[in-house]
Amino acid sequence: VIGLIHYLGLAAALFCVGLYGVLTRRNAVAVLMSLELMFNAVNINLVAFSHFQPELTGIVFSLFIIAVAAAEATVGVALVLSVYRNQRDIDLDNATSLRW
Amino acid sequence: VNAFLFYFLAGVILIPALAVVLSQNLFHAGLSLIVSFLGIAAVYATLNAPFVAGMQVLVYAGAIAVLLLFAFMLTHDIMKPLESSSRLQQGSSLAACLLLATALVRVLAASGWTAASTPAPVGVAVGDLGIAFLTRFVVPFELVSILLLVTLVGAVVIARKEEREPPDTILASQPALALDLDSVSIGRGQSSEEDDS
Repeated sequence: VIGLIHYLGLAAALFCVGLYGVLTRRNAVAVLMSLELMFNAVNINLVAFSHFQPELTGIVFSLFIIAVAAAEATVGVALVLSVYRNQRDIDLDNATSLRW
Repeated sequence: VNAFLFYFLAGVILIPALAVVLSQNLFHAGLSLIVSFLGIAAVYATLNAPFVAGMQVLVYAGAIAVLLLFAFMLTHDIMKPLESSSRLQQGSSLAACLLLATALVRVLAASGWTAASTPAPVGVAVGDLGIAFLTRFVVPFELVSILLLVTLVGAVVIARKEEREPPDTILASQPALALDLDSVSIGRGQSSEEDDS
């Protein structure tokens, strides 16, 4: 029977996949995509806890995370466009103008 | 929840997620991201959270994934494959992820959560959710609305085109201003004759 632990395992696997993408991708948009996978892994955890130990907070918190993730994606895309305008590509290895 | 349904959904989520992370064509990665988001929405539905599932489809699959695809198409030739990172970086990242996975599996095994798997008989009604948002969680709720407003303004400010033209477009529009670097001898700078011409 499928219980809480299965959902937590699924979320852990998704989080690790997303982390691998964040660490290896060089394109800024690809990093943002992997970041969204990690957000979703956390959301699965919260909703699963909320389902198996009846409590509203998990669902409320996951909705807040969705709202904040939308805000994060918007600002992230604006930053990507700004970087692109300045240096004609969005390879994160080249975005070193703030590096000391 | 039916075990077959769960493992099917896990596949629908994890295989496109791997494609998002590994695909060399970022456009395909973005489309896989949408499939993965829809699978996650289905998981929310199996967890008796239909409202979260709906928001997942609207906000993640509908808005965020499309926004990221647009950002990609504005900044990159969609048919050009991505440059991959170095072998060293891939290897160390894989090691870090496996380490994290091992740690998480150990924590899950040590926790008592296998026993605590008695699901709630009914899901949360949307009405209860709305009441909770406007009573217990009213402060974070209002803070999120401020956050969204600030994000809206901030994104426009960051992404707006600057007033002055960047130097390369000035040079492109007025080639006479461009300095022919080959004609300048090293260490001398521009001579006065060339200045007149």
